[in-house]
Amino acid sequence: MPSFLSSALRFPSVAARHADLLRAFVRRDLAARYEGSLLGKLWPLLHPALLLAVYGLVFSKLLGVKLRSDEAAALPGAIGDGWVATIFMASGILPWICTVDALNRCTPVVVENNNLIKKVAFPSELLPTYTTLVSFFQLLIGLALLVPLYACVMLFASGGTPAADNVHWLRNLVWLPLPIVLQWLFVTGLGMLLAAVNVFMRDVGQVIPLATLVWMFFTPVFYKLEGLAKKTEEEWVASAIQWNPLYHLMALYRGCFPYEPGVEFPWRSAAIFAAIALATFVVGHGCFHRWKGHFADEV
Amino acid sequence: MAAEFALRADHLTKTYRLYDRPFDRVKEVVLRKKLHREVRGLVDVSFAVKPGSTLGIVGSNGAGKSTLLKVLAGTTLQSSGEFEMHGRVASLLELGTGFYPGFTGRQNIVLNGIVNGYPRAEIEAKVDGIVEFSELGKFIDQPIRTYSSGMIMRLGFSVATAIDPDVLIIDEILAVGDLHFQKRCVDRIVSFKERGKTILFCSHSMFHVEEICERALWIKDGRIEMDGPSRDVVLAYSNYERGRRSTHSVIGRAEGYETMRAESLARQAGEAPPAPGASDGDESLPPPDAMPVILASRLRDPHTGVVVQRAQLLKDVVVEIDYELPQDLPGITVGCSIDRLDQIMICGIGSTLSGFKAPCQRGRWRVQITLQRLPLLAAEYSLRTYLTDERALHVYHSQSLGTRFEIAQHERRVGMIHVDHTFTSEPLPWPTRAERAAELKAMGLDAASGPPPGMA
Repeated sequence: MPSFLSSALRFPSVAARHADLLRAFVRRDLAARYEGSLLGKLWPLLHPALLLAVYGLVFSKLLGVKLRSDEAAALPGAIGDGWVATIFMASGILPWICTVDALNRCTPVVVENNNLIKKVAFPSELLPTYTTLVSFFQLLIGLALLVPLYACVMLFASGGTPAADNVHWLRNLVWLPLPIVLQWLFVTGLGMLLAAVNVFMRDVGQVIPLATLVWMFFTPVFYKLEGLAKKTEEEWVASAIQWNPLYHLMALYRGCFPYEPGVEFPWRSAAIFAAIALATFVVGHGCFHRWKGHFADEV
Repeated sequence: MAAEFALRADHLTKTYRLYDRPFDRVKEVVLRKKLHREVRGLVDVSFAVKPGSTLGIVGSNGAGKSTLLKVLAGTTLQSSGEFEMHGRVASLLELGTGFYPGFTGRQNIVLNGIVNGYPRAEIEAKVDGIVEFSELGKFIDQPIRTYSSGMIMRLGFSVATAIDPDVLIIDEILAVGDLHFQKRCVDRIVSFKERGKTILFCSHSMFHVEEICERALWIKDGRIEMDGPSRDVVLAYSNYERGRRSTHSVIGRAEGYETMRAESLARQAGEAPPAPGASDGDESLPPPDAMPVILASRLRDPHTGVVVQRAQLLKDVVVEIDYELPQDLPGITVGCSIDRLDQIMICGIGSTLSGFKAPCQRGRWRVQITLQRLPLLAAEYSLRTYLTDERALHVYHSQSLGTRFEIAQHERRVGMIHVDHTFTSEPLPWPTRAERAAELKAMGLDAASGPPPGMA
């Protein structure tokens, strides 16, 4: 375990030394994703924009989702149900998609780059690293669309006039980097572990898409945990879901985009998820580091 | 570099674990029971290379050459032992690794350099030189998925050698691109050598190993079978290979290589056919990037001047080589070799080695080599003529004389070659009895075993 910790502590300097390589990999990957498409470099922007529009439309207009009690919706200055649904869904779906995308792409990354692993001497932990960086690049673009949307809604659509009176709604946005950084640590650690295990057991590559699907239903992406707890007789389901690390991540993201008054930033979830994320990174990176010497013989 | 060694390997061993099923690996960890078979890639390999020297590595396929280079390049981990290297290391295990098909040649130069661990700024400063060396011209800004495999190899070699390493590890990559480019590759490697870089050179071309390297390792079944001057090692290894596969020998492989070169030459010739008969104007001249070519080669009787198919033991015969140089060259070597029909070279003759300066200006030339008092006994041989660069490293073109040539011999001789000899004789004194007894004792036939018949 101490060796895991010390190798994880060396990771930032390794990544910094190979910053050029990471950048080149990220650029190659982005170019590959949108290669041959007409809109090319617009897609990273277009993709989350369309996603926000579709989810907003489906959840607010078609499904008519109500996320608040009627009393809360009736309070003076409350924003419309449609806006609430859009903000709630987007703040969960964007990080969720990023997680799934990163894990699905990380898992086969060592096997896919077998020519590099075999023929070039470089720190191979950069492979899962660049993969998650690409996914987070897309998350950042999505959030860069969501944040101004949220700001506009809270400033102008909520009752208070003038807009300056509504600035307090945006207070929690300053904490937004926290869930992003913690999520990156968590996802990169897990991605490294999966990528390393997949070298020796290719079954992992088959299981991950299924596993993430199941995981999604046990993560409050499309629902509020409080709502679920009310509906189900079985209290244990709700408490079991709190054992899911991503429950806390969702709570953190939602804490940054409050739509009801009196919502505190979920510091308890922040502490729990920070511990989980750091531990995941140390273990995932440690396993990858310990096994990588054998990769060239197996891929 | 102040270090005593550029590279030192100390008891390097690499063992591969083979599992019948991938799951056995997991079972092995859980059950703590041995479920794998061990295959030895390298066994206890130790050697040291001084800075500025060139070490050749030879051995059969699967002997462990590539495993050794991979361990030294750092792409695979040794099972035990260690090695140290001093200075910047560049390894050319495979050309074009890490090229991305969607990027242009220029983008791939930068990507490839970065993947191989060089700072972006350094690569970008060298891009123009790399583009120039690769001779890809306008293709450099096209995505490399549109390239031919030869063009990708050219780009790969250009990138890999543009960066100035202290130690260069090369694995069998000289068969790159067309003839013209191959020559440039050999030149570049020689220039590394001349600038005092350390080179590890693994090749199946015994010729190149012998010419480029001072020292060589012969690796057999993962062990160092022999470590010594490249000439001795190449000789021992070639003998071993001949014994192993008498017909498909190392030279046989080299033969295939020559055929490949000849074909590529024919293609080139097809692109720019010299106009027959038109002797005036530049139209009849080949393009400046065409390669030197042998037009014809034949055997002549030196006395009558008649073209012959057979020569006679201890008589002279002339090998005549007509060649064309499309441009002035710094030098050229014209030569021939006599090979047995099982393709073992009996003798090789080259103008540079013999101190003759063959004409190397643009134009067509005829060189005659008179083989004096041919000492070969009656048999069939094949004769091959060569046109190579001034160091006799790179073969521009070689041609086999269509027919086998016979050597006629009127006297009865036994063996392969004639050795000049004389006979003399003289009487020896008869031995005394004591001397004879001593002789017998020395032969193990002393009195104890009974006197030989007639001595009782």
